[in-house]
Amino acid sequence: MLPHSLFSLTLLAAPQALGATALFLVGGIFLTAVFLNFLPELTRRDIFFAVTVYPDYRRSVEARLSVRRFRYAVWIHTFVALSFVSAGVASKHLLVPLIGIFWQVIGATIAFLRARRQVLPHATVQSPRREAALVRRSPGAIYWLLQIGPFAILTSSILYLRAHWQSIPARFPIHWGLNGEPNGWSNRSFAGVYGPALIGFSVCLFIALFSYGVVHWTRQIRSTGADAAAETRFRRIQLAALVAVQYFMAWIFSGLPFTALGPHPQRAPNVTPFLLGTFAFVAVLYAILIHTGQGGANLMAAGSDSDILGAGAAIGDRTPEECWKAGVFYVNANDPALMVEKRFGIGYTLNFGRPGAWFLAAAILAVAVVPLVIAFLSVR
Amino acid sequence: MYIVHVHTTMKNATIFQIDLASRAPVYQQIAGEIRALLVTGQLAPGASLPTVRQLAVDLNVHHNTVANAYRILAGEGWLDLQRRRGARVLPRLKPAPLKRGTHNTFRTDLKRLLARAVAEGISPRAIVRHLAISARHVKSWALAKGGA
Repeated sequence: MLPHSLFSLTLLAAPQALGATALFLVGGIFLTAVFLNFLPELTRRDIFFAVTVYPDYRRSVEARLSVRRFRYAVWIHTFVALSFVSAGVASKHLLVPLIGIFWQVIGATIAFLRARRQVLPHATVQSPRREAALVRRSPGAIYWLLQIGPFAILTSSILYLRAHWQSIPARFPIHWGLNGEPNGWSNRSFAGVYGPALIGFSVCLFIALFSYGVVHWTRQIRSTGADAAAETRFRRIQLAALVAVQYFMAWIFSGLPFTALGPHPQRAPNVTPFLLGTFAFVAVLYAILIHTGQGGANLMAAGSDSDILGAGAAIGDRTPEECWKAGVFYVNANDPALMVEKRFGIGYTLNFGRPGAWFLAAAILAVAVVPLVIAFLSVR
Repeated sequence: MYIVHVHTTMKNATIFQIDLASRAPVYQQIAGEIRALLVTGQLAPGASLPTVRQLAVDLNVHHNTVANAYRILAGEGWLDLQRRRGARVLPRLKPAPLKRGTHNTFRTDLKRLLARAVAEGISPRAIVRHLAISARHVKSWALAKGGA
């Protein structure tokens, strides 16, 4: 039998969950479209479609036209994606909704690249003046205390399962078909029982490492004026969001093995609360990101440019244009920053010019591969 | 969502600026800016400076550039360099012993600076005003340190 990913447990687990799954997919695609719709306005004022421009450029007729074209494309591709999802749910073929999701991602990427090409002739040179604050950055004691929580939840789950080892059936289902009948099984082995919690550990550890990177490996671009305060607040929000994701992941991965300890382990679990919870979590996250904007761009008061760098200057993000590949991948061996602000999107991306970034990328890959390996070992 | 506390507030932080387009080497600019903050007392003894890596990331310059600047200031007795932990401002009760020719170098530099100011169109009256303000500043630093 082919190995089933443990994550697929959450999708199309049973007929009664089909409605919730369809709602989850449609809602997810719609939320992504709303986020993409706002994205051109969420970047720093002097970064437009991943190109450094004068802050006034985004108010020009040409810039507005680029945004309008991008938005049309996003919504057209979203409509196509939703059609695929509807067709997939109606025909009960899991592959068809996946095509819809990919359609939206690829369509939006092509629209972004087209808009970037239109903006590139208006690129400007960033100010050679740079400022820095002589202060050490640290996430603070409360942050480190909050880090204990997710790992404590996962450890408790492992200890509970260990204490009730004899109550776990020798073979228990962890995957159900569309007819509600189990079609994927796990056995009472180390990987089968503790696997999900161990995946949770690796995911939470990786997020902790990423949070450390946000504090220590990223650049504080603005150090003076209201813009600096907005950027600091943005960094705090990013860290808080990452902590929230850690707790969410700990909740999911600590709960997964308990399907085997329930009164009816053969019956498909009701995944509707999980899907609705995930949807609500993502919606709140998107709302917060739209509220803040990249680098706190939306928290900055109008005309609050840095007082020492001069109002109206193109300060950008202190990364050279030529080091951005397709406006998404940053490769600069001369930049000491391991992580830099994304030019299109919210948050941080890796500087692939640094060897450390490749280690981090490998860690991301490992976090994605470890669950598959554990699933392969546990599902029989 | 706001429970996480980060000591990154720039409100009371000491800020400095460099210009990559300037002819002056970047490490000298960094050392000069930090020295000015130290002399004026804006960076008090015991204050912690960021690590070399963090400052290099913030300014997007090479680590060695920041390390050179820190080493210059450590050599002048301003900083105590701590491996992987940045630098700490030292109490510097009296200035470094005056080297031979320092007065002459200062006089020549000042003359060049004034000539450049005139050449770039600053009026003599404005120059005198700036010098008077600077003289008052220098006097206040000396008084604050208990000097003459």
